[in-house]
Amino acid sequence: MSPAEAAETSAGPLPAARRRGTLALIPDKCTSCMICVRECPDWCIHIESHTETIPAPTPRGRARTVAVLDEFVIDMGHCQHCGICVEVCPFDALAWVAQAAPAEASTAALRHDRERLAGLLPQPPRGTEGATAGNTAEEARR
Amino acid sequence: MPLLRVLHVPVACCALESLAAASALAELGVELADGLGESDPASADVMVVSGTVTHAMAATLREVHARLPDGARVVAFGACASTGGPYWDSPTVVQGIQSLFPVDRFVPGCPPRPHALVEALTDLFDDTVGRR
Ligand code: SF4
Ligand code: SF4
Ligand code: SF4
Repeated sequence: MSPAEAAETSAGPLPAARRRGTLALIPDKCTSCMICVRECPDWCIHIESHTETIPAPTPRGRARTVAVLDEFVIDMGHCQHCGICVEVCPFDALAWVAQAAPAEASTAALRHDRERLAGLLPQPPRGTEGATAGNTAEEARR
Repeated sequence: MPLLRVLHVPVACCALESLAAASALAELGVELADGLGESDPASADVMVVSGTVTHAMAATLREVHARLPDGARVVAFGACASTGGPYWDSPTVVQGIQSLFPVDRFVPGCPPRPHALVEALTDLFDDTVGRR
């Protein structure tokens, strides 16, 4: 955060969740449930996913179908930074980071893709499920 | 004499934030002139459009842009000026000012923070105000 940004609040820098700098994604936590997509007032979240079948783990078990995330784009050119997507995500896969997204030379560059959204936060180690110590969205926000 | 003359076109709520950057910009030698007032676009280095542009307003904006000197740059400040923003489905709102004239920088935010304008201008004019 630049000194000028810190000076924006007389009470000192706000926590990321209240500063609403820009949005970040933890792809491993995202289940492609589409709740954020449907709740976003700007319809500026775009998700592509496919389903995969996990075979039954035991002879008497059943195969499971799971959604696998392929692409996740937030069009920051449209985003009104309302935070609804962060609030509604049942899996804490979206979070605020304090530093605002920079201006770009094209509107296409304002479409933040999965890689860019994920690059803003420390990601949980691969293969871990849900919240892992030190990697919850709550901790990442600080 | 200012290092940089900004023709500031305030058309909606974003203008409250871009105007709040005026003193920080003045410290950098950047002057904000009112693009809808008496100031002459011909003396501007960059036009900053701040807010929602309606189709009714598009002709005025085009006229102001046409009076800018050759080589003047354009900044779209905020979601509305960049893409139509929250009015993405409105038939009366221009879906981004790049449909009217070329744009050099698009600043995200609804509205962006005032400092975002300082950053966009220092980035765009890194050989002058950006050096300070
Ligand atoms: S912050 Fe609001 S506008 Fe932006 S992506 Fe989330 S829900 Fe949509
Ligand atoms: S609400 Fe959360 S888990 Fe569901 S698609 Fe959006 S980011 Fe992924
Ligand atoms: S981007 Fe948001 S704050 Fe700016 S003019 Fe549009 S509605 Fe208002």
